[in-house]
Amino acid sequence: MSEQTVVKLDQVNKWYGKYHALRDIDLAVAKGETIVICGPSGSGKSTLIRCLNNLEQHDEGDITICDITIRDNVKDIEKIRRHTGMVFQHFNLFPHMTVLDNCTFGLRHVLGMSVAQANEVARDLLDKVKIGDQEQKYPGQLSGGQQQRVAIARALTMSPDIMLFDEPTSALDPEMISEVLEIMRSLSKDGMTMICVTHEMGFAKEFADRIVFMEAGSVIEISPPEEFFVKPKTERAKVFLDQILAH
Amino acid sequence: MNHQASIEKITGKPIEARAKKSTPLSFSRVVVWIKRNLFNTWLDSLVTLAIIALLCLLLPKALDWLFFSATFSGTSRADCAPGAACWIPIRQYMDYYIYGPFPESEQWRVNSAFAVGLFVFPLLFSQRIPQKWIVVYILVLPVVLWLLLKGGFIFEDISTSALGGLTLTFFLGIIAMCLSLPVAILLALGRRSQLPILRWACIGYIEIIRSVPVITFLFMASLVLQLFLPSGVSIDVLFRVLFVLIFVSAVYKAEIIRGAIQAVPKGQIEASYAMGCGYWKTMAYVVMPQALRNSVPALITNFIGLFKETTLVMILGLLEVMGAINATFHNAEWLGLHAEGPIVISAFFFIACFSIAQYGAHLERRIKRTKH
Repeated sequence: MSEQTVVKLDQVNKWYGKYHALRDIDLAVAKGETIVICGPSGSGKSTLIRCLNNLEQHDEGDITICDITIRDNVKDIEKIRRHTGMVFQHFNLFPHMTVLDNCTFGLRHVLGMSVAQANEVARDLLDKVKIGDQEQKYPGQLSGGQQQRVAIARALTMSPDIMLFDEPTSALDPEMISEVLEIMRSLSKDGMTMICVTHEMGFAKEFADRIVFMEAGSVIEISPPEEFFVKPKTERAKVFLDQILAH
Repeated sequence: MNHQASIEKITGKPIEARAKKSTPLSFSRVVVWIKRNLFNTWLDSLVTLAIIALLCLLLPKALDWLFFSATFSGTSRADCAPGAACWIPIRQYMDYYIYGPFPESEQWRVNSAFAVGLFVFPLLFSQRIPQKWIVVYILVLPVVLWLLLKGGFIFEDISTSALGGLTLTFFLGIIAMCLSLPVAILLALGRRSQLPILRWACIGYIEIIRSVPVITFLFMASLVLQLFLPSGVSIDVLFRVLFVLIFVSAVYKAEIIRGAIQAVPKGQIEASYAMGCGYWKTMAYVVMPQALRNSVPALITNFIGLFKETTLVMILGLLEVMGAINATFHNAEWLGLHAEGPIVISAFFFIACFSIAQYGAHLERRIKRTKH
């Protein structure tokens, strides 16, 4: 594996019972790349991204993250999870903790930092996502967009090498989508390796290095956005784009 | 425009005028309230009158029997007034009810045990003490109580037969409450475990224990257990009773907690895992704090039930507060006084359990305030 490759999938397969959720997935992501995974619902995008940090277990093939291949070794899996940060569709903030405590959670309980040190790191990142003034509030007191920004800050506290975004804007009201995308843009610009499952084609066009198009559990096209949006290789991608760009 | 002025513009009334409208309690308002709430329809009136009539009939008689005609002082049965309560034996045996047959020279140990145990309440009500310390206190408390009341370490051993009355009730109740909760948490987690053997074991244990009456286990603890032990070996009856109380009531708590764990959204657990947090830390910091908060009302009910269940140890010959009170009324001197004992027992349990319930209500209000 070249030094630059941080994510590598080799013939990955996954079944839910008899349902073949992922079929022979091959993918390599270089350091600093922004990858957008798109495709119709049920095509396996979320399953794929959740396999990367072992929230779902794949059945066949190899997934290698930062030179660690996922096996059934708990320590390795925890190491991989420290290398990756994940942002979820429904934020998944801890409702019984303040915004600040949400962000110091990993620093204190996983990295073993002191409260003061963790607070300092967390405050820096909360400022970065422009929510520093809300640190004593509880997640339930924030808007969806604010919550998602806190969730991004929380994932960043662990200084991950790779950020995974699983439909980060799908549960947001339209006017809040832009504030989250703005954070994602700045992360992409700063050279963070990002893998995003999203329907935000504007973001994909502007910032993705490559688009991965999935259909029925297979990756059927990987192209740079300028090619994908102008001249998709497959008929299925064309139909998908027509539908999604129609609005 | 200032705030007051803008409000006045909206309402068309100066603020003072509106404020005056909420007049203090007046006779006419009381009459309106009574009409509305007590005699609204003819059925309401009927119910109100029936209840008032019933109270008028029973309350004077009860109060008379309990207090006005009752005997409070005297030394023997002959001093008791006929047809009313006789509280002489209660006063005479009060020390026995509290300390049981505990050696008199060591009674300071009982007093300190009560103090240490009751100190939990201010501790639980206070919001300034970190939860970590409260948890430590609750886990250390059983050990301290055991040392003080039963002996060991630097304390002189007290024989089990010397433990009785309120001392024993307190001893069993507090220790069982403190220790059954951790056991219940482990059982609830075990039942949701990914490890099949552990999960099946927990399911089996929970289902069997909760389908059998507690009293059966107490009988078993006293009689059946001896069959399995090598001859000559015997486990102190206190140990056996505590064991049953803890491991039986833990089952009910485990089911309460399991329900509350299931109510914590799975996404939060994933978020914690995704940061590299392991199973135990995720459970301790993400799941349990929420699950325990949500199960407070049901757990408080369970604690009250457990506290009252301690009276069942009577069947093993242990004289906890109820046994102690009953025993004095079986004394030839006081034979024939039937109601006084149960009334005192009821009063005691009411005070204890109502306090626990009040703590539960306080906790619920506090959680509601901090929950968003």
